[in-house]
Amino acid sequence: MDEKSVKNTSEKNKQLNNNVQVYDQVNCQKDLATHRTLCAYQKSMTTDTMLAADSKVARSSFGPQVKDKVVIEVKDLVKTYYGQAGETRVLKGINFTVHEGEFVSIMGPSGSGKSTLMHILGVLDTPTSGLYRLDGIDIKDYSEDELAAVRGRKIGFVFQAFNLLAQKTVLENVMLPGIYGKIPMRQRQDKARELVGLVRLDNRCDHLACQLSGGQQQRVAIARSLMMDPAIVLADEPTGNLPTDQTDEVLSFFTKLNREHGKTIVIITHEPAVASYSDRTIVLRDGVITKDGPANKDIHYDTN
Amino acid sequence: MILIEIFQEALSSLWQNKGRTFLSVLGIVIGIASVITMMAIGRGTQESIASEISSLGTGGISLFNRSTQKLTQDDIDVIMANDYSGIFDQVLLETNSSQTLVAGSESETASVTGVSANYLEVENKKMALGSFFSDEDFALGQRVIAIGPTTATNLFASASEAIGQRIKVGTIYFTVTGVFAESSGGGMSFSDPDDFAIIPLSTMQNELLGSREIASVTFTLTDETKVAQAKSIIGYTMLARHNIENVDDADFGMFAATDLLETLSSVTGMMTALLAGIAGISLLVGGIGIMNVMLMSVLERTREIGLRKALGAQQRYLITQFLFEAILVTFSGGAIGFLLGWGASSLITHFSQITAAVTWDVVLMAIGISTAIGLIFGIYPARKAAKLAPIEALRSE
Ligand SMILES: Nc1ncnc2c1ncn2[C@@H]1O[C@H](COP(=O)(O)OP(=O)(O)O)[C@@H](O)[C@H]1O
Ligand SMILES: [Mg+2]
Repeated sequence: MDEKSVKNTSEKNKQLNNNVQVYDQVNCQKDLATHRTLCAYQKSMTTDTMLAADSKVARSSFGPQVKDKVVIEVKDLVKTYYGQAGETRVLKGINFTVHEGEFVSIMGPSGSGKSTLMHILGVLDTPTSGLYRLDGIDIKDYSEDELAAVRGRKIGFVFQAFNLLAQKTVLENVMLPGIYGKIPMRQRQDKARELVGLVRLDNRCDHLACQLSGGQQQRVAIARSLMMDPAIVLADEPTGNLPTDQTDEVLSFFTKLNREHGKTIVIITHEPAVASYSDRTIVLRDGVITKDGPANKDIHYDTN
Repeated sequence: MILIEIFQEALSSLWQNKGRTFLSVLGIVIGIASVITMMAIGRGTQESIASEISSLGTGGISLFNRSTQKLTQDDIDVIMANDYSGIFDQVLLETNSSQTLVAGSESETASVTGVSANYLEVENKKMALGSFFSDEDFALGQRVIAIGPTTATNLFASASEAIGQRIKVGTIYFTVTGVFAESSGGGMSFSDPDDFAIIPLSTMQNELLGSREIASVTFTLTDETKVAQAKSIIGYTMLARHNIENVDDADFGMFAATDLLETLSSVTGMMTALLAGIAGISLLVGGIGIMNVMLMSVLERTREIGLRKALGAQQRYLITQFLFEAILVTFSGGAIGFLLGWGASSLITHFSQITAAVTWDVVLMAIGISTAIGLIFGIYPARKAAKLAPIEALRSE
């Protein structure tokens, strides 16, 4: 570790201590373990105190379980597509870091490069230039097969289109990453059952994926994304294909994962209501970050 | 361990796409079934020809004239005198000519053969009615005739009525002493093997030809493995007696049934190869069919492949899965095709003249080939699947 990064780390520690102080100030439990308690706490306050509290929370850009460890580090990230119509610069120098335990949303209008960014974060694609360090490793150093292993072990994907294997059962879908992750059969099955329980589909274990509603399918996808205990869960418009009455349920699972299981979550959306579930929002416009700060919680409670 | 898991993935993927799987299995089933059936027919024919030749009482060597009146009784006597180790058993002398046979108002043209007294024994013939000639008939050159069953029914109301009747051959009347039994099998010659007439050799030479000519001699051997030795005794004796220096100028010919066997089995071998070639083409077509179906499957499953990659599948696992799928299709197609081909061969044997013999080497070969087809034609689609870029694959609809 060089001098500069040591300095960075000590600064981050200071920042984290500060966060804890903020929470103490608003008279919240030191261990705000669950989203439920947070919701109950905020709902119990008057609008005035809530606004006040929000402005205080706003100073902390991190959720309650945020740790020191950096999971995503992106520096001067550029992505250019070379097509018949010439080259398209989709990402024009992106910089941000995500710490372990953060719940981040990436927002922006359609075509702003959100999915492109998510593909790079998920090592499904490689940047044209710039640095991407995932869980401490520079993905540039890895071969195609190693990247596949990295995807399997470090990243859990949740897609807009669910992407379940329609003819497999719920349990088989959840177990799929475990095959490539070489988890023994028994262990894999136990883990899958546990995860299916987590998204409350215990009674659907042996249903085929195609027999489920959209919301249920997305919950299976969330369970699947956790099979290998990934460092981050990446979700691209996870509620984009869902009717509004199923969005809240699906999103509440992301909150649960973050609050109760300490998962790092990056969710991509163009809906402010969805972003409001997160603690921090990065706004992307035309391939550059125009805003990076605490999420606007108002919208979430307005739509609730 | 992971191989077993990937095998299960391949299996369930085939199971979940039953329609597509059925179509690709079908192509291989047809290919393999036709290979097995055609090879069985080829082998069966080969075997039945071989057994037919051996039933003719092989081991015999024929010596025949290339130019007229060169083969004499003296030649035969010297050959026998040169046989120090007693290889030769029987010597059948024959001369034949095509003659018009007339009985009452009926007539036909048939081959009339003058033979020596050991004819029945050497040619493995039996009488159905009446009797063969007596030693006296041979010694005195009597005008007696024995006829094949077809000849009998052609000339007379029935075979039994022929006995004791007279047949005019050329200008001479012969008395029918007997009718031969029908020859067994014998589907090899183009003419009816039961349409012929036999008379004593002496009668033939004296009455019909007016010369001491011998057209051919059949030597049977005491030891059937001594064909080559017997041929050389005959050959050298004849070359010396006829003062011939170059074998190509020989005025006689020699023929051993074993030669025929070799010739025929090489012909039927070629036929089997031809059938196998045709069947092989149908296998090739089946293999290309598999490749098409697999490529379709890769296209259709682009999204699935992208997803598997996103979930951590490395290229080699995807290649393995697709290869497993292809091999499962071709192997099971091969197994079903074998059962079908075997069934078809049994039916052919049961309901037709042809004996179709399914042999194990053919079965192993067919299943081996079908599995190899899976490997060869599966590798391209499998590599294509594994090389898909994950985002492109996920983006596809
Ligand atoms: N493979 C590609 N080739 C060329 N251009 C692309 C490709 N993928 C995305 N783009 C372009 O990049 C821009 C950003 O796309 P995307 O990241 O999907 O945006 P978002 O997810 O924010 O809607 C769009 O203008 C799109 O047309
Ligand atoms: Mg998008």
